[in-house]
Amino acid sequence: MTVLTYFCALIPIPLFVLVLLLMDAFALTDRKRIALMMLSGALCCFLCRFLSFILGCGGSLLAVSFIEEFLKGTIVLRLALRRKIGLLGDATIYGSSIGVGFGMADNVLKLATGASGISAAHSILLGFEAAVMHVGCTSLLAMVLIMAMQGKFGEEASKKRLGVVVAFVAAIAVHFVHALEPLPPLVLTSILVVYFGISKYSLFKKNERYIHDWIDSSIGNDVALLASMRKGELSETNAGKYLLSLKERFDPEVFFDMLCYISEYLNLSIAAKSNLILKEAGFEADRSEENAKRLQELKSLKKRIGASGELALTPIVDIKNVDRWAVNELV
Amino acid sequence: MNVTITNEDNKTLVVLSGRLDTTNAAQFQQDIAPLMEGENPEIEIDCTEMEYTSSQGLRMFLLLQKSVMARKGNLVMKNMKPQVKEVFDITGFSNIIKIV
Repeated sequence: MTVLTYFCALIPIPLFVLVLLLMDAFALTDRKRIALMMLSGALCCFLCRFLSFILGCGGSLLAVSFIEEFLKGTIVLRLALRRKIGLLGDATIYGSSIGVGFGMADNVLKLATGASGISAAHSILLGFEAAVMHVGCTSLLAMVLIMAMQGKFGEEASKKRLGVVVAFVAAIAVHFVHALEPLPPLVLTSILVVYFGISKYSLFKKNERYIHDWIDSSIGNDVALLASMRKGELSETNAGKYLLSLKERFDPEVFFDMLCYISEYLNLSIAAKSNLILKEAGFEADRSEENAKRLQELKSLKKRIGASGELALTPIVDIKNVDRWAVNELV
Repeated sequence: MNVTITNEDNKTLVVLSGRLDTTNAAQFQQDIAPLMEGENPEIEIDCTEMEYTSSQGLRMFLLLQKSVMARKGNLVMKNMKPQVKEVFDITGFSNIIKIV
C-alpha cells in the first residue's frame, strides 16, 4: 500500500513536464539540464524545510510561500543570467522542471512524516496538488522573468529589473493564495490542471509565432550581410558605408576585430536559426566543432572590442538577449 | 504565392511563383500535402518565379524532403534565383535538399 501511495503521489508531477515537452515543436531544451533542474528543485525543497525549521516560520503560509518561491526563482534567475534560457518555451520547461523536483521531494517528505496512511485516491490528489502548486508557480516565475529579460516591459535596465521583481512577487502571491485553499482542494486542483493545460498550449503557440517572426525578421538580413562580406562587397552596402564611417573613431586593430566580430556573429546567428528550422522539421540540429570554435572566438572578440565597439555596431547587428541565448545554446 | 502541380509519367512537377511568406505558408502546406503520399516519389520544384521564402517556407521544403527520403524518392529544386539560393547555401539547407 505504501509503495502504491508513493507512486500515486509522485507520478502526476513529472507528467506536467512531459506534456510540455510534447508541446515544444522546436525541442528547445536539453534533457540533461532538465534532469539537473529537477535535482536542483528537490535539493531546494530540503533547503526550504531546513530554513523554515531554523527560522521557526513553518506555520506562516506567507513566509513559506516566500522562501520556497524565492529559492526556486533563484535557480531560474541564474539560468537566465547565464543565458541558458531565452524563450518562453524553454523558460517554462526548465521552470517547471525545478517545480517537479521540488514537488516530488515535498510529497516524499509529506508521506515520510505521517501521511503514508492515506488512500491511493487521496495520494493522486496530493500529487496533482504539488504539481499545480510548484510546477505552476515556478513556470509562471520563469515566464515573467524571461519576458522581462526580452524587454517586454521596456528595454531599460531598470524596467528589466522591475520585471524580475514582478516575476518573484507573482509566483509568491499565487503560491500564497493557493496555500490559503480558497476552494476545496479537489475543485481547486481540477480547475488549475485544466487552466495549466490551456495556458501552456497557448503559450507554446505564441512561442512558435515569436520564433517564426524572430527568424523571418532577421535571417534575410543576416544572410545578405554575410554574403556581401564573403564576396568582398561589404563597402558597397549601407552597412559597409556605416562601418567605414566608424573607421576613424577606433584603433585599427579594434576596427579589424569589429569586422571579425560581425562575421563570426552572423555565421553563428544563421547557424542557430537554421538549427531551429531543422529541429522544427524533425531533422537533427547541426552542432559542428567549427561553430563551437566560432563561439569561443566571438567571446574573445567581444572582450577586445569592448562595450563601445559593441554599441557602435548596434545599427548593423543589434544583438538582443534572445540572440545571445541562441548563439550560446543552439550551435 | 502560386503553386501549380502537374504529373507526367512518374514525375511530379511543382511550379512556384511569388513570395512564400508567413501569410501563405499554411496554404502552401495544404497545396503540397498530396506530395507527402505515395511510394518512390520523383518531385521537381521549379523555383524560377519564386521571389522569396520565409523560415516557414524553408521548413515546408525540409518536411517535404524528409517525407520523400522516408519513401525512398527524390526531390530536386531547380532554377532558384540567386538571392533565394544564397539563403539555402548559407543556412546549409542546400546540403540537405538537392538544388540544381
